[in-house]
Formats: sequence, structure tokens, C-alpha cells
Amino acid sequence: MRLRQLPYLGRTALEGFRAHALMNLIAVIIIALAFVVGGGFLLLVINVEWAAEGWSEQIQVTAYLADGLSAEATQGLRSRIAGLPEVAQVRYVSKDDALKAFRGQLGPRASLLQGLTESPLPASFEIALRPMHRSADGAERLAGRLRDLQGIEEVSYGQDWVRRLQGFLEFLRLVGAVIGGGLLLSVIFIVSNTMALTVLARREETEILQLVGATRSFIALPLVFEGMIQGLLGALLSLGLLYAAYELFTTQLYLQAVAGLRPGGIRFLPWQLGAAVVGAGLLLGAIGSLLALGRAESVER
Amino acid sequence: MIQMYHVTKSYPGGVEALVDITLHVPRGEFVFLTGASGAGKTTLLKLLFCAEPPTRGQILLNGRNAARLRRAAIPLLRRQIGMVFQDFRLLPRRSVFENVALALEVMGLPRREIRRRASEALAWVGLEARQAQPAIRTSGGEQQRTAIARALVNEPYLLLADEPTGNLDPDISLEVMELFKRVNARGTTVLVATHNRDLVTRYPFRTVALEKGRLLA
Ligand SMILES: Nc1ncnc2c1ncn2[C@@H]1O[C@H](COP(=O)(O)OP(=O)(O)OP(=O)(O)O)[C@@H](O)[C@H]1O
Ligand SMILES: [Mg+2]
Repeated sequence: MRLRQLPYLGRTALEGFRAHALMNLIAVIIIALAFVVGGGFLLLVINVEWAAEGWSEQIQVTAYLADGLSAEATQGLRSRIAGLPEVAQVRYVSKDDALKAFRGQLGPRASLLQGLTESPLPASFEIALRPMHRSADGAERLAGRLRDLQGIEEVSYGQDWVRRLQGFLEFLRLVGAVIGGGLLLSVIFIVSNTMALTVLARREETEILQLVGATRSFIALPLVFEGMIQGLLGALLSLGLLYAAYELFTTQLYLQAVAGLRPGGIRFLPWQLGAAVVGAGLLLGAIGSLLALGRAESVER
Repeated sequence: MIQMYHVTKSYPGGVEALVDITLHVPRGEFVFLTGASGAGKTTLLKLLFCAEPPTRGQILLNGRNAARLRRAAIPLLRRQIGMVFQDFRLLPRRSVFENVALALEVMGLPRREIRRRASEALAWVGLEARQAQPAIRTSGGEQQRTAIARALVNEPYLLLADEPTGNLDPDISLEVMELFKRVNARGTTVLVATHNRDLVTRYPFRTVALEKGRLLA
């Protein structure tokens, strides 16, 4: 195979594609639908991840103080915490402040708390993290340091939901891998079956090519290209469909409201992932064609 | 040129198509291969063309053992052998020119070279005027001349023809034979399988006869 043979091979592939235009178009549409499902899932995952990042930015750590800490000790603790590398800001919440806030949260049922003479709630520091540390990891690290400090009883930073969110993301990725794997196989299946028909339709041409001394690759490449055209068009079509759906979703704000998202709260696939989808289309198309060729050869033997 | 030693070919199922064939064809010779239907003419050409391996025996083409070629080497051998069939074997929708150029295309020659050599071959068989025509829209004689141009465009040392006039009128058959004679006059070894007695008696060439897979002395 030489580079200057490529135009001929490409032309043959295009001719082949046109010769079975209807069958090829159907294959392209089915491939596109498979990629829409896969790409849609990808969109879901990256948006959940993105949202999770947004939530992590609001992470703050609360350090509850031991009861009966003196004012000096509290002040000393505060300045030590403010000096930690992760910490942006420290706000002191006294026992009474905490009770007041709790009353506010209870609203009309605040009467339940009547008769309390002293706040049962501990005083605390509410600590905002520096931007680069605003993540589950950063909060975890800071919490570890705080627990080592004298006078601090307990530290919380919403461990539970962070962990649950991470579990959910893991789960999404796993489901995505399974769905993705299934879709890859089905795309290969579609391409190899349509290409098997093309191989059959080309038998006479193949014989003639062998007659004039064409190498195996010269005979196979137009078919591989044809499969790659299928995969490419399928992938591009799926990206177009996904983008249309995305546009609809972002311009029709009520749809976002239904989905419980803030406006502008979703994003499209970054270009790297779009390119990966296109690359997957090309690769799967080539694999499907090679499988069809392999099967045809093993039948002839 | 062609040297066959004790070549036997049995097809799966037990048909002995060729039995103990020993045959020498020197360079530049013109040979008719005759025999009734089923005598093994096509099989013999297939062995020379490496389309089938012999069951036993040795085949030397230009001193190279054709019976033991690697699969990847077969296309290269075929580029040095021209092959012509009764049913022409052209790509019907491709033009006459493209059909001839195909034999050069597979070799990866530069575009200009392909153009020059295909035009030359077409002129040689007298088809310049028809070269843009799709092969399917030319006459049988023109199709066979296209096939001959394709077989010769690589300047092969050997031309094999299997019943090349089987689908042609007697007049056209003679035209095709004249082309083969001219090929032979250029120094190419020619082997024509046919059961057309008229042709065989009309030309003074050596005749090799097969009967039920055996050579008649
Ligand atoms: N692929 C094959 N599988 C099994 N048997 C075959 C095959 N090809 C040919 N034969 C058998 O081998 C014998 C020789 O066949 P071949 O085609 O070489 O004869 P031929 O001389 O070319 O005949 P014709 O003049 O009819 O073309 C016949 O008996 C034929 O049936
Ligand atoms: Mg025959």
C-alpha cells in the first residue's frame, strides 16, 4: 500500500457507500442512536460532576468547642485556626447565637424551646476554606488538623452527603461503563453486518482485483474506509442530535426548572469528549469492517 | 519459462483434475492447450496463476517455485502474468480506461505513469476511441480487447488465456488471435486454452492436449 493509492481507495469507498446508500444510511442512523444514548449518559455524568464541584465550593467546616472553654482559650484557638493553611475565614458562633439560629429554623414551633434558661447547644467556629482547598479532600484534611487541637470536641463538614455524592458518582460511572461497553459492541455488530453485505456484493470486484495482483490491504481498505464513513457519520449525527437537545434544554428554562436545575446549570460535552466520540465512531467502523472481512474469508476457505 | 514436474491436482471430493503432468514451455513460445470439457485446462491455468495449489509436484515459473509461494507473494507474481478469460472479467460500471488502469493502480504507480501506460495499451489493442465508455456499454469483442489491454499493460512475461474466444463471433475471434500473435511477437510467452479446433488448426503453434487430466503425447 502506498500513499498515492489513497485517492483511489477513498473513491472506491465512497462509491461503495453510495451503491448501498439506503442500507448505509439506516446503519448510520442506528449508530447515531447508540451514540446518542452513550453521549447522553456522558452528558449526565459530566453535569452531575460539575454540579458536585459547585456544591463542594460551598463546603464549610464547623468545629464545635468543648463546654466551658474560657474566653482567652477560645480566642487563642481562633487565632491558631485562622493561621492554618486551608483557612480563609473563621466566624465564632456562641452558644446563644446557636440557640437563636436554631429558634429561627424552628419558626412557629420555637415555643418548644420555651423554658430553656441556658443554651444546650455548643459554641462553634464556622470556617470557610481557601478556594484551592474547597473540596471533599481539603475539608477532610482540615478536619483532621482541627480534631488534633485542644478544646475542640467535634468537627463536621457534611461528610455524609459528600460521601454519598461520591458513591453516586462512582455508581454513575460504573453504569456508564456497562452501557458504554454494550453500545460499543452493538455498533461493531451493526457495522460488521452491513459490511458483510457489501463484501458479498463486491465478490466479483474482489476476484478481479485479485486477478490483477491487488494485495489484501488494497482490497480490504475501501471496505474499512466504508465502515469508517458509517461510524464517522453516525458519531457526527449523534453529536448534532445531542447538541440540539442541549440547546432546547438551555433555551427553554422551564425544562431546567422541571429538572430542578439553576439556569445555565448544564454544560455540553467539552471538545475533547466530542472528539473522542468521533474517534470512537471511526475506530468502531474500522473494527466492524475488519470483522466482516475476516468472516467472509473464513467462509471462503 | 514454465516447467511443471509430475504435477497432480485433486479437488476436495476426490476429483483428479490433473494427473502427473510434466510440461516445459520455453520462453517466447506460443502454445495451445486443448482437450474436451472437464479435461483440466482451466485447472492447469489456475495452478500457473497460483489460484490453486498443486496437490503434488513442482511448478517453476521463471525459475521460481510457484507451488511454495507465501500468500503475500502471490499478488506480486500475478503482476508479471497476464490473464484473459472467456467472460472478460471487467468492472462493468468502470470505463474501459479505468479497467485497464486498475492493473497499474494496484501497483501504486504515479498517476502520470498510469495514464501513459494505460493509453499506450489501449492504443495497442485499438480502443483509444472507446476508452471513456463504461465497459458494460461496449461490444463483446471490445470487452475482450479491454481485458487483453489490462493483461498486457504490465508487460508480463507470460500471458494465460482461458477460452478467450468462447463468447465471440468467428471474425472477432480471429482478431483476438491476431492480438495474441502480436503479443507473442513482442517476446511474451502465450498459453491459450481452447477447444476451438478451427483456431488450433489455423495456426502453426505447438498444441498440448489433455484428456481426463493426463497429457496426450
Ligand atoms: N473447484 C472445483 N472443485 C471440484 N472439482 C472441480 C473444481 N474445478 C474443476 N473441477 C473438476 O475438475 C475437472 C477439470 O475441470 P476444469 O475446469 O479444469 O476443466 P476444463 O478443461 O477447463 O473444462 P471446460 O472446457 O469445460 O472449461 C472437472 O472434472 C471438474 O469437474
Ligand atoms: Mg475451463
